[in-house]
Amino acid sequence: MSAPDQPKPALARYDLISGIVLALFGAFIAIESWRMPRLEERGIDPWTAPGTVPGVLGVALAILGIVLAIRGRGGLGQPADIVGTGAGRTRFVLALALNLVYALALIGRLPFWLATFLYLTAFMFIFGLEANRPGALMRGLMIVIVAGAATAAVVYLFETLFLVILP
Amino acid sequence: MSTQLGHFLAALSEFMNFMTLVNVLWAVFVGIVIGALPGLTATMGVALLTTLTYTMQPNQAILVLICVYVGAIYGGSRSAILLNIPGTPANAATALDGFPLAQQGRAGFAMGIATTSSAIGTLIGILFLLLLAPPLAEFALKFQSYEFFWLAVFGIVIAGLMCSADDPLKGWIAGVLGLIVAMVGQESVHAYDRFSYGVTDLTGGFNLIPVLVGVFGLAEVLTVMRDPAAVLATTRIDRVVPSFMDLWRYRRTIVRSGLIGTGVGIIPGVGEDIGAWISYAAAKRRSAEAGKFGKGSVEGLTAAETGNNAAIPGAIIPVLTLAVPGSAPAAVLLAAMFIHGIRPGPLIMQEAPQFVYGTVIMLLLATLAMAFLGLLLARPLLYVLRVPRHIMMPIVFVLCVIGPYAISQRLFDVWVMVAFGLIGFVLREMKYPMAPLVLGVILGDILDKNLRRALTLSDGDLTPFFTRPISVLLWVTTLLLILGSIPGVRRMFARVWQRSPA
Repeated sequence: MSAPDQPKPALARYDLISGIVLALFGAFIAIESWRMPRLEERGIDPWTAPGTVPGVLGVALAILGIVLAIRGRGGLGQPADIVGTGAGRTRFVLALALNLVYALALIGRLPFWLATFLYLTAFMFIFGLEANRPGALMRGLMIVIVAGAATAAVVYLFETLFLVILP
Repeated sequence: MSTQLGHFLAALSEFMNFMTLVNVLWAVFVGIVIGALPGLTATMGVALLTTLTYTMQPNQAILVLICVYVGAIYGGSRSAILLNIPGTPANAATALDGFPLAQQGRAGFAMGIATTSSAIGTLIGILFLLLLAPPLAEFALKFQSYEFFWLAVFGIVIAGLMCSADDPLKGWIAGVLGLIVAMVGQESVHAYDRFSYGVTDLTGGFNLIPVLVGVFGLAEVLTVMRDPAAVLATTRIDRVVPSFMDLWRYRRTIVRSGLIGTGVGIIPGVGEDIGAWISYAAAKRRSAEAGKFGKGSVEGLTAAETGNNAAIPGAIIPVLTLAVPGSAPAAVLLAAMFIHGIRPGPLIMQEAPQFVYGTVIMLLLATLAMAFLGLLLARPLLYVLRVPRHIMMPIVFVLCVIGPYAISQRLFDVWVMVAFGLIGFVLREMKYPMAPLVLGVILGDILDKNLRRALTLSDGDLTPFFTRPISVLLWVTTLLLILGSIPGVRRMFARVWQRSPA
């Protein structure tokens, strides 16, 4: 888990917004459930229609969302920053971007070992720059070796040893 | 009695081979490493290894998973003590006293206490598993659809309540969201497509593993990368193995924590982390040295680590007898059992009683290996913790991508993982507990199916839901729990109690 570095400011504003969002979502679910066919033509008991449980859940969520929003209505002050500030935010955005590119764009389009190797190298390189250590070329080489070894290990472990099919 | 013994011996014979030994050792080791690394939780570990052991024989596969489970819940104490970062949420209470002890130069001692406490805690839990599972399964045979419906509702309510004690509302929202997630796809009673909007991949609904790996994997990776890097408290390790006196002094705390941990584990959805916290709080309240808690109290450390490990067998009890998970990692274990063709539930004592005893044996083996490896590898594991996160985290994410794909070979599952990783991250930042969400995803189907089956059985009549004896117990308890958490109701009761003559 994460180190408790900064105190979490009051999340009241997020509660208000998220409460409204959840209430709307709940209402959407309830409405969609209502619109589900009752399947009377099959002669089933109306209570067992497909929309029953989702409908109840949608209503429940809407109610909970409204309660949350009401509770949070007091806090319209400075919103807490969910993704952190300064360096933390940059790291978050970078990590997120790299992960999304890997999982959504590279995987499936490139052979697994290539996609993984590129991702690992890029990630370790970009974040390795953060640590202030001399010898950039050596570090670059080390990263390539580590990334290569990790890729090879993962592929061997999953495909050969455990017979798992890789994307 | 003799048939039970017969089943036990039969189960034992299935595990008396070399493969078992090999699997136990590497699996517990991997579990400890996974637990020790911040960013990887027990749930994630078990989920990833479910995919790895997909092609293994069922007994060995479940053995591996249980070993990883036990290892991880224990392993988290390492980083809690050395880095002040709990390796898994279950070890958050461990950090409170473990880290100060490390700072006082007693890191090795702390780790030794953690190891033995974890082992004893698991053993206490195993004892209860052995004693309670068969009669509970017998009792559960009386459960019909009505009771299972109420059990699902009860599970969500209590999980939401206990997993975020100061804000049950968010716990319940998480639970309901999980239930709604489970509603997507073709429903089982009339084969009607719900919420799939023409997307073929959605007709199967959301698989548990991609959701779990996203919420506990990707979200965790992002959190770790965002937060500042961790710093080791000390690299000096003193004597690791605690003396018998160290443990005997706190024997009452150990037993109490073991009982609390097991009990908390049995409650659906409420798992090792709550087990640790409640044990810790109880120990503090009853301790003669309460002032030392938070400053390096050995008693506090003992309570936390005993409590969280005792919850493991506790969480497995409802898995085996009711097919309802007692905690998030137990939820993955449940899913893995189904994948391997094992059918937990009330009928398990009749269909496969050997499996229940087999589980006991697996837990025993895992505990032994954990104690052995834990004490042996105190210093080497230090090196693991020093691996920089920018090397560890991308590798973890690679595993997060492999995991969902491995089960069904659909890239769709990888996308589900990503989506839930983002959702999970946002929800966690807003202080929503994830355990009720996971429980909701699992219980959604149970809730839906059983409600409708029950209504078909009773011909649309709602009365049996409220009059059948076990149902009464469940819904009344649920109602009391909900009412008890509304501040207005509590105030009203406080006033009533105060007015009545003492």
